Amino acid sequence: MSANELVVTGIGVVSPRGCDPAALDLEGAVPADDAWFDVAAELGPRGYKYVPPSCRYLLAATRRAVADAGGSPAAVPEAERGMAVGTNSGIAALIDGMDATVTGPGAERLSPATAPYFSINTLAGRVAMDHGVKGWNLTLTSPRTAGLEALLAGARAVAAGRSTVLLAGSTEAALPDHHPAHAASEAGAVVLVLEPRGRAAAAPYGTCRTAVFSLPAAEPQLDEILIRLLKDAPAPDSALLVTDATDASPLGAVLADALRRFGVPADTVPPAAGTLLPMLHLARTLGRPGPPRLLATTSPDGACALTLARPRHLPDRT
Amino acid sequence: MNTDSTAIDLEDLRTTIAEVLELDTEEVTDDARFVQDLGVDSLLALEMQIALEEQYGVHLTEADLGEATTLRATYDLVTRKVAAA
Repeated sequence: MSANELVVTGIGVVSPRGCDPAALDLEGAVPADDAWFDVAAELGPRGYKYVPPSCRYLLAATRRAVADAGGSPAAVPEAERGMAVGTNSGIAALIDGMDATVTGPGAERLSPATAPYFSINTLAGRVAMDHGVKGWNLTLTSPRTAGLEALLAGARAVAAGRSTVLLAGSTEAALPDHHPAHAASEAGAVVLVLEPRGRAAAAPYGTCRTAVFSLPAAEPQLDEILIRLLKDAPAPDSALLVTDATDASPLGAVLADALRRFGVPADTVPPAAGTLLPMLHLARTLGRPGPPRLLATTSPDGACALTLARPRHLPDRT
Repeated sequence: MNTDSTAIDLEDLRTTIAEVLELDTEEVTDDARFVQDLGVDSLLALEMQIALEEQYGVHLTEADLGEATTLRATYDLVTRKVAAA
């Protein structure tokens, strides 16, 4: 157990499925409209009128995560704070609305205060402004996998010395009504605070380690990838694959077969439109003491992200 | 009461500006200074410009915005613009 190993010291969740990581209801679908989110209660009565929903969710989840971690990110210099965020639908509705304005009344009628959010990077950028994240800031947009990928990219940045503390998460907002995937829209955000075990003041929730690869290209190396991912860690007792069984390429079956070779039984749940569902499962897994668990998600084009979550141990009952 | 046909309603203007700035209408007093007292920044000033242009059908320039430092000053400005339109 290395003092440099990243441990999760804070979890922040805002979701129509709940805000208590350990008690998230992840069964079935939930409406992705904005009615469930109380912006005044989460962020305050003013200052967020022109902030798009996905950014509000990310700000709120970050506040919760930082508070949960005892404010530890504020204890390191701003240049030692980094953030990685995954999103697919974070600004889809906003861009759609901007398109309608430009092609309708004209570009001069675009809202100046909302216009900066046309860039997907602005979501995490706004969080960086609020929390003094000046080390680095990264937004990933790979379909479905970007949330788990943010954990890997963030851990690499910390290992490379670019920051001491990492905020990593995912945010999504409802897709426009006319979008083919609107019914599968997600809304909400998950943010984790990760820091080296040696400096963590708060009792950590556990650890997570992520691998990212593409199938079928990486299929011959899949066992090797799993060996590396599971190295020096207790074996997971189960896996959850957030994957579409109707994908033309049977990614879920390939992953489940590989996991079976390692003695890990896998359940499959259908994905939603974005990056959030696997992150909610990760937050719930880390929020409850228990055995290690693998969480995976795939995109229709073959991208796979696999995270080994190791929650803190169950209390000794002897 | 101002009976000029081009007159604008001060309370309507107050409500519009309060909505743009996320303030209660009571906070937008006639002489509260937008920047110093109400925390208006450049983006909010542009947001206010668009709201006023849409509501009153006038065109406001950057120089006009510099003149609109309070509700009273904005009322005078918009009244003048509406009359000239």
